[in-house]
Order: sequence, then structure tokens, then C-alpha cells
Amino acid sequence: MKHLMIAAALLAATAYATPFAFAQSPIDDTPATGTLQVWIGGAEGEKLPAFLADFKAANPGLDVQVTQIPSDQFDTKLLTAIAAGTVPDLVRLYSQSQSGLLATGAFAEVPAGLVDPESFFTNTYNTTVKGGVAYGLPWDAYATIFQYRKDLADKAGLEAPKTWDELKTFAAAMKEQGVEWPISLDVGYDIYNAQGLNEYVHQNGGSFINADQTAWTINSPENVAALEYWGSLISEGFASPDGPKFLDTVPWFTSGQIVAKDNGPWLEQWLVDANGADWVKSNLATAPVPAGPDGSFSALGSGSVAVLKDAKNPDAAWKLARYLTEPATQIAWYKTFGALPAVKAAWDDPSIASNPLLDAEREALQTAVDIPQVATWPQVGTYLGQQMELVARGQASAKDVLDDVQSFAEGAGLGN
Amino acid sequence: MDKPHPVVTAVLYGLLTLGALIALLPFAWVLFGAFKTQAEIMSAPGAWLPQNFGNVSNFIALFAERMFGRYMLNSLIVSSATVVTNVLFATMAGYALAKLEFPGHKLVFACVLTAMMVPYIALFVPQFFIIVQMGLVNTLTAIVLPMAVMPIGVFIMRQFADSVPTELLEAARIDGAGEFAIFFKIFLPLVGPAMATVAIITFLNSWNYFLWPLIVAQNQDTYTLPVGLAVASQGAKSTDYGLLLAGAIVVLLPVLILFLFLQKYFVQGIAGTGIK
Repeated sequence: MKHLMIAAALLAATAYATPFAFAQSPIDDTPATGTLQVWIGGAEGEKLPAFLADFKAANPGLDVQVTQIPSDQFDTKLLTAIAAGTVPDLVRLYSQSQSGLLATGAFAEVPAGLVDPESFFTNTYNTTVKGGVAYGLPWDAYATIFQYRKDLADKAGLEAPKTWDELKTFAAAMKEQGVEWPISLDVGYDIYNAQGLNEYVHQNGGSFINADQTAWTINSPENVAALEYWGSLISEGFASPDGPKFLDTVPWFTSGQIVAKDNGPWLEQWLVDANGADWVKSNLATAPVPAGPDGSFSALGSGSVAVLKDAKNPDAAWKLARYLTEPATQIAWYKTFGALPAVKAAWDDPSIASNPLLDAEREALQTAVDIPQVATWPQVGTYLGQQMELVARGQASAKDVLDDVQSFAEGAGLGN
Repeated sequence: MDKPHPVVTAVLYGLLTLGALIALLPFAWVLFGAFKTQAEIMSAPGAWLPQNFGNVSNFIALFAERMFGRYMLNSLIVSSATVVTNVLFATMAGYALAKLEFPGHKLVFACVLTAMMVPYIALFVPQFFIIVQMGLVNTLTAIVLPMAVMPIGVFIMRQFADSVPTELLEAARIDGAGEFAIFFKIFLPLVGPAMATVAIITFLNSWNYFLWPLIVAQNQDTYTLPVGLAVASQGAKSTDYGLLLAGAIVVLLPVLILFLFLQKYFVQGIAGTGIK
């Protein structure tokens, strides 16, 4: 609601502002000068200033000012700044939440020739492409992968399941070993549930939105069947509708209450934090997510850097963006912060290539699927995530739920 | 009235103690968590007590690496300024609305009531526009200004001022006191408790205020404690819970100290106005 009100005020405010078109000037290789304002959410802002030492050394005439913004309020702050014209030069965007920001039209096109789009994972690069125009450069990339307890699977003589059917066989065998809830599904986690369902939907050849992102297709037969499969994992006793909730994942996984989960690659670090690297080495394994009739598709998460149209120093901003997406910088950032590179070449570095847990991740990134990049996705996705709980608890059929969400989505429109 | 049977008293006290313990448990968890390492918090099953109460690394990190000293100074400046302006202006406005006859005073009061009903988020963008026009972006003044006189304070003071006998003020007027002398020498000493209530409510509001200070600040030098806490707790790939909990203690502490000193007024203020 808060976002809606700010967005409404923003539209009213920008209605009278004449858009000012910059001539597209190529970004040269001379050192940047002046002041560069960077807004960045989360912990990255804590590490970034020191990380930029090399960039600063190469651009001695440039003053880089990095401001950390609390991630969950980043959009609100940036929307207000866009409305008032007090924007920074460069910001960090998240593929899951950026659609509302991009819809304001406040971002500058990526200058021609700045980078080679082919050097990024294709789906990751496309997260900021609208109408064939890129408005940001991918900085890091994540895809969910099937993560499971290697030790328990070995004990039961099981391999990682490759298909939907094998997943149930895997879970049934684990249940026989005394595991109460072999598979962990997110229930009651709103928009993240919808993002999780997006995987199953694509695995079954469906999609929440049509190919050119102009109409919702939430209640297609493929999607209904995908949600039915998801629900059957719960109704057949392989997963609990009550947990683990987000933070409980690590303790449940550690104790063997759950043995498998589609999760991002960060789970490895969480488990290292809690149980140590040795525990992870002998107990954790990863694999591509089990394939449905249409193949194995993971949920994509990506972060980009983007430059504002009203940036005071676009030249320096693009130079920094280019620097951040060079393979060497991407590897260095991975070593500093643990963020996985969006640039394909960086994955050949031994620091990543030698980690077997990341093999599945690399494979998954080739085909991982993005959420619908439309401005109303936060509302639609949240509603869908909430309604999925009815299926999880056997209170409504998949068809009824998706019909309902489809009409909700049609009411909300696309917001672009 | 007869004294209740000792057994009844014992049961009542037992229940109250139990209730208090349940209410305090989350706070105890926060306090203990502040002394834990990230591994201790993430491990299963989590222990209640930290392994080492001497582990103050979270607190050291907050002040040494995360600028918490600066945030706390900013918060103190903002909250003190807000308390002073609110108490002064709300008391003056309350006095005027309750005791002075002037054209349109009912309309003014209606405006105050209306202002209380507008959700603050609706005013966000226009307020920020004004601040930008005034050239005050990224200043502490910009954080204080929209909160300098809160309608709730005016409302409380006006209701309280109503209970001050008008005869007293008239007697002073007959004795030749001017309007300011009446206000400062006669009226103010009588409305101490209400002023304390306004001061406490204002302090709590401005101390905990998050969104507006975040919007106004353009770099971390102007962050207040709640904003700084939200930023500092975010670690690589996951929340740094040790820092978050230690930060929560740091944010909570001044309020707790204030409460210990002004306990009487807290209860009076909440009971008297029905607002917390």
C-alpha cells in the first residue's frame, strides 16, 4: 500500500516534468572525475568502499561516495528521490523487486558498446531489458538448486532425484529411513512461495505471463498441474505445510528433520556458519532441481547496477558499472563478498570452478527463469503466495486458487 | 473491603509473575543473543544462554566499525530538538485553543484533529518536495521539521488545558499580568504532568522514527539509530543477528533509562489519554 501511494504521488509529480533526453555518448577509457554517488542496499555497501580501492586508484580525480540503504526500504527511498529529483548516480537493483522502479522510466539506457551482452548469462542480462533496451548491467546471479543431505542419501543408497517422479521416490525412501519431512517447501512465505512455484510452472511448460509480458496466464492448465504436483508433495506426506520457516531451515537441515530443499547457493555459507566447513563437506551435496515434463528450471535471482537518467555524473557511473562487470572484478567481488558472478567467464576461475557444490549452480544459471518483470508482480506474487497456502492445507483445489489469482491479476493489470 | 484470602493472593501473584516472565522472554532472548556469535545463533538447537557473556564483540563492532556513535549522537539531537519544540509549541497551542477566544479557533482545532487522521505516509512525497525546495536535504533539521509540532501533542495539551480553572487565569489578568506572563508563570506550572506526557510520547516517536530520517538522509553521516541499525545488521547473504540484537539493546537502552526515571508519567500519560 505504501508503495502504491508513493507511486501515485510520483506519477502526479512527474506528470509535469519534461523528460530530458541525453544524447547517447560512448563512454571512453579516460579516468572519471568529479563526485560519484552510489546507493546500495544491505551488507554490500559495507564492503564496497574498501573493495573499490583499485578503481579509486585508477580514477584519482573521482570522489566515490557509497551510501548503505536498508534493503527492505530501498525502493521507497529511491522512489521518493526520483519524485523529488534528488537521485544518486548509480544504484543497485534486485531482479525480484526492480520492476516498480524500472516502470518509473527514471533509468538511463546502457550506452551502446559499453559491454558485450553476450558475456553475461542470457536470462540474467534480460532481467533489466525492457522493449529491447537494457537499463542495467547484471552484477551477480543466483539460481535455486536442489540441496540435500549427502550422508543420509548415501546411507539409504539414493542418488539425487532427476525428475518429479524420482523426487517422490527419493522422498518415500527417506521417509522409510525415519525422516519425517524429507522435502522442505516454503509455505506462508508470500511472494517467495510464488517465486518457488514459478520453477515448477516452467518445469511443466507453463508460465505466469505470456512471452511478451502483456497478459497474465496464471490459470493455464500447465500451471494448474504444476501447483497440483507441488500440493501433492504435501498431501502425500513428503513435506510439511508448517515448516521449516525461513530461519528454521538451517537447524532442521542440520538435525535431519528435512533432507532436501530447493534453495539458493547461500545455504552452503549458512551451514558453514552454523556447523563448520567440515560438516558441509561431508554432508551437503547439490544437484539441478528435479525436472518436470518440460525440463529442469530454477528460480533466478539477479542483481544489477543501473544509472539514473538524472544522474549528475553518468560518465563516472557507467565507468564504475563497466569496472564492476569485468571478469577480474567479478571474481574479486566473489572472494570479498561471496556474490556469484553474472559474467560467464568469471566462473572459470578456480575459486568457483573447484567448488563441486557450485557445479549444479552453473548449470542452473543457463536456464533459470525470472519472475514476470511487470510492476504489479509484487502484489500479484504476494497474493499468489498467500493463496498457495490453501492448496498446501487442502482447503482449495489448485484450479480454484489459480482461477482466483488470475482474476486478481487481471484486476491489478501489469502496471507498466 | 475485606482482605482477599492469602491463597487467592498467592495464586494472583503467581499468575502475574508467570505473565511477566512470558512478556519478558523475548527481551531476554534479545539480551542474551547480543552476546552470541553468528554461529551460536544459527546452530541447532539454539542454546538460551551465550557461551560467554564476556563476548562484547558485537557491541564493539557497532561503535568501532558501524558508526553507531555518530548515529546515536544524531538520534539524541533529533529527539531532544523534537521534544523541546513539541512541548513548547503544543503547550502554547493547547493553551490558546482552550483558553483564548479568537476568531476561527474552532476551525483551527478541527484542523488539528483532521491532521491526526491523515496517514503520515500520504504526506511523504509532498513533505520531501518541500524539504528539497528549502534546500534542507541531508540535514538533521529536515528530520526534525515535520515532527516539530505533532497534532497529537496539541490535542493532549488542549484537553488538559481545559481542566485548568479559567478563574485563575482571569485573576492574573485583573492583577495586570500580560498574556505571556500568564502563560509562563500561571499556566505552565499547572500543566507539568501533561507536558511530561507530550515529552515522552514525542521522544518515543522521534527516537523510533525510521522511514522519514531514511528518506531525508543522503549519506550515512545523517542516519539516526533505527536507520543505522537496519543497515548494520545486514551481513553477507544473511542477517547478522548478533549485531542486530546488540544494536537493538543499544537503541532500547536510552528509552529504558528514560522509563525508569519517568515511570510515573508514562503510566499517567497512557492512562490519562488512552494513547500510547
